[in-house]
Formats: sequence, structure tokens, C-alpha cells
Amino acid sequence: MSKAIIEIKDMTLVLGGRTILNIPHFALLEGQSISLMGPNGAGKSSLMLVMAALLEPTSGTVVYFGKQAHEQSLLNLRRRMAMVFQKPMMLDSSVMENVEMGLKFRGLSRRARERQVTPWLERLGINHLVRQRARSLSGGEAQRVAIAQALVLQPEVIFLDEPFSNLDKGTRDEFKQDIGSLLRENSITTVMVTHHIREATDLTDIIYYMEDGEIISRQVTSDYLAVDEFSRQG
Amino acid sequence: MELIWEGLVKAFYLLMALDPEVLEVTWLTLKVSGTATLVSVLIGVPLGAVLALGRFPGRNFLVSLANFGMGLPPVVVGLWVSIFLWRSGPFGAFNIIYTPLAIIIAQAVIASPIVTSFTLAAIQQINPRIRLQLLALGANRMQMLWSLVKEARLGLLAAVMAGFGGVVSEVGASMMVGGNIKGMTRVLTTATVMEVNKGNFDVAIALSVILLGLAYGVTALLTTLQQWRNQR
Ligand SMILES: Nc1ncnc2c1ncn2[C@@H]1O[C@H](COP(=O)(O)OP(=O)(O)OP(=O)(O)O)[C@@H](O)[C@H]1O
Ligand SMILES: [Mg+2]
Repeated sequence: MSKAIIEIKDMTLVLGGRTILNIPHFALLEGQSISLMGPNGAGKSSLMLVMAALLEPTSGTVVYFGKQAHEQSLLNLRRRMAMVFQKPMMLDSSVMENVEMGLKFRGLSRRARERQVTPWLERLGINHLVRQRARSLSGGEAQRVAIAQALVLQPEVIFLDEPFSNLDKGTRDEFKQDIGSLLRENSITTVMVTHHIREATDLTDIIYYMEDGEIISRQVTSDYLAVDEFSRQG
Repeated sequence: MELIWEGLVKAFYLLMALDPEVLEVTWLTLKVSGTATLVSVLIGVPLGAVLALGRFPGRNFLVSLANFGMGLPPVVVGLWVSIFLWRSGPFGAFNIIYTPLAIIIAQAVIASPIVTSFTLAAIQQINPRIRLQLLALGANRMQMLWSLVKEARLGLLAAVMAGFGGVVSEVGASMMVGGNIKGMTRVLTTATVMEVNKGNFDVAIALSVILLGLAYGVTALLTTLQQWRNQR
């Protein structure tokens, strides 16, 4: 049995007087890749922020890598994880500076940064954009840059909040393949939010459905595939 | 009309002749106000950033103080700085009063709240999602602060312009703590007031034109710097 990387117990999140999240128990295991699905406003993004130690829950406990948040350095904790936001925010500098920002924060030399960044730029097809100002990128380009920005950090856990939502269909399919094998190769624990069942089944092992701040069901995606096959045959 | 014309002609003449006295006053003005602005940036930018990002008791009070401080009357600042620097004052032993340093101190007091408030506003305007993004990328406190200051650089240049504009144009404080001593603490504004008092309106107009030119020149330089990247 692999160990829990993030474990949530009796957690609630209240924002502006409203209960946004209410999670009695949830665990993300090492090497697992899961999807969060559910309607708009269900709390998927908020749950990700809590899991990424970017948002403090109102009550309850969250255990990261076996320790509670207050028992460890939040900075070190955050540096083991990476997040691709639903709406990527670029800093007002070049694409290159944006992509290598996290590595810079971790104190890597210019050379080391370049060595680490270059392969990802090629893999994500943004090599030609490196000198462009990040704020002038198209939605899809910004999303690629955001994915690169997260992957260059070689995180133990990655959070992807609707990472393909701005990509055109061709790119989306290509990316899905590529990112999928990439995450598997590097056995990065993955949490992804998506509204597309195919993305969830192709990229992750378990789907959690959320509604009104609660996790209402859990499905193993291989079951889905079986159903899918079945319905196609029928 | 004639007076204005004569003044402009005189200004042109003084400038073209590179009148050493005028040059000296102009140079001192630039040095003193430039240094005071620099000091106020060193104080105001970190302070503004901390006020924009921090949550601590007394924060709101400090913010209102900074905003209030933007309108500090230079004469009042001049008076209080004088009181502290007078021979009999708490810092009298340093013999600073009636030196350029005294003017720099007084002008820094005037400009610091301006720079602080502008910085505060510029950093608060940054989308809060940027802060979240920086946290997620693993920024520590200093890296966060520095990244946001860089992000707010356009607003910060506005802060520098406002600070410099505020001090280069004030006369009350420079007069009180500097004393308008020829060749020592005479700056463009105090010289202008003096020439008016003496009835030398043409010289006064000439000095005012130079002051405007100086203020415009520095602002134009900073504006070019500010708009540089947007044009690419
Ligand atoms: N800072 C906040 N203050 C108040 N309410 C908030 C805040 N942030 C989020 N919410 C609310 O919390 C609820 C959950 O938001 P969240 O972004 O987690 O939903 P989501 O499941 O990701 O939705 P979507 O599919 O649209 O991205 C929403 O109703 C939202 O309005
Ligand atoms: Mg969301």
C-alpha cells in the first residue's frame, strides 16, 4: 500500500460566510493520478488550492507528506508541488523568464535553469515564443507556458486545473497523449480538474465527483473504459 | 507682455552664456532633489510594499498616515526639520543646518510619503492571482516582494516622478533649512523667490524657465523609461 501524500480530515473551507468545502475524509496516494469533476462552483479549484497548501482551510486538518501544515515549512512544502491554474497568470516579463521563475526561486544558476528548461520548451512547442512578452500570448499559448512552468520544477505532485481548456482540438489530443505519458514516466502524483470525461479516463486512474463543496462519488476509470467499450459495441 | 518677453530673452541669454552662477544653482538643485528622491525611494518603496502586502495591527493607520503625508506642507516640514537641526536642537551638534544635506533631509521627508503611497497603490493594483501564482512557484517572502515590485514598475516610476516633482518645486523647506546661501544652499526655487523680492523679474522668469525645463527633462527621461517596454 503506497503512503498518502495528502490526507484531509474533517476539513471545511468557509469563504465570505459560505461553506465552500466540506470534506470528511480524502487521501491522495503517492503515484496516484486522479481527476476532480463536477459542475461549476462545486469547489474543485478551491480543493486544489487547499491541497497545494495555497489556501488554509477554516477547520479540520490536512496532512502533507505525513506532517500537518504547521509542523513543516510551508515554503519547502510548496516547492515540492506545482500548479497549473485554471486561468494562468503570466508575469509582465518574457516567456522565458516566466518559465524559469520557479527554478530561479529555488536558487538554480542561470545555466542550470537553461539546461532544465530547454527540453520542456521543445516538448511543449513554445520554443519560438521564449522572447515574447508573456502577457501578449494567446490563451492556448499561455496554457502551454503554464504547463511548462510547472513541469520544469519536476514536482512530486502536480495540480492541473482544466489544463487543456484553451487548447484547440488537435493540440488538445496531442497534449493529452504527451502529458499523460510524461506524468506516468516520471510517476508524478497528479490531480486534474476537467469537465471532459475522456480526459479523465485517458489521463487518470480515479475520478472524484464534487457537488456543493462535497465529494459525492468515486469511480475507478478502468470501470469507465469497460462501460465505454461496452456501449460502443452495443 | 514685455516683462515675459524680456524674461524669456534673459533666460535664453543666461543659458547660452552658461552663466556660472545659474549653472551652479541648477546643478545643486538637481543634486539635492535627485538625492532626496533617491532616499525617499529607498524608504518609500519597501515601506509601500510592506503596507500593500502585510496584515498587521496598525497597518490601516500607517496607510492613512502615508496618504495624509502626501500633502505635507513643505513649510511645516521645513520648520520641524529646522527645529531638530538648529544648533540648540537635538541634532544641533552635527552642524547640518544651512547645508545641502539639511535640504536633502527635509525634501526626503516630503517625498517619502508620496513615494510610499504611490508604491502602495501600484502594488495593491496587481491582480491577487499573481501573488497566488508566485506562491505556487515557490517564492519566499523576499522573492515575492521583489517580484511584485518588478511587476509594479510602471507605477513605481510614477512614484519617482511624483516624488521628484514634489521636491524640486518646493521652496518653503529649502528656504528654512537651507537659508538660500549663495554658492552653498541656493537652489532654483529659493533663488527665484529672492530675485522676485529684489525686483529682478527678468532673472526670476529666467530661473523659473530653467526650473520648468529641469523638471520636464527629468520627467521626460523617466517617462521614456516607463513606456519603453510597452512600445516593443
Ligand atoms: N474568495 C472567495 N470568496 C467567496 N467565495 C468564493 C471565493 N473563492 C471561491 N468562491 C466560491 O466558491 C465556490 C467554489 O469555487 P471553485 O472555484 O472552487 O469552483 P470550481 O468547482 O472550480 O468551478 P469551475 O468549474 O467553474 O471552475 C464558488 O461558488 C465560488 O463562487
Ligand atoms: Mg475551477
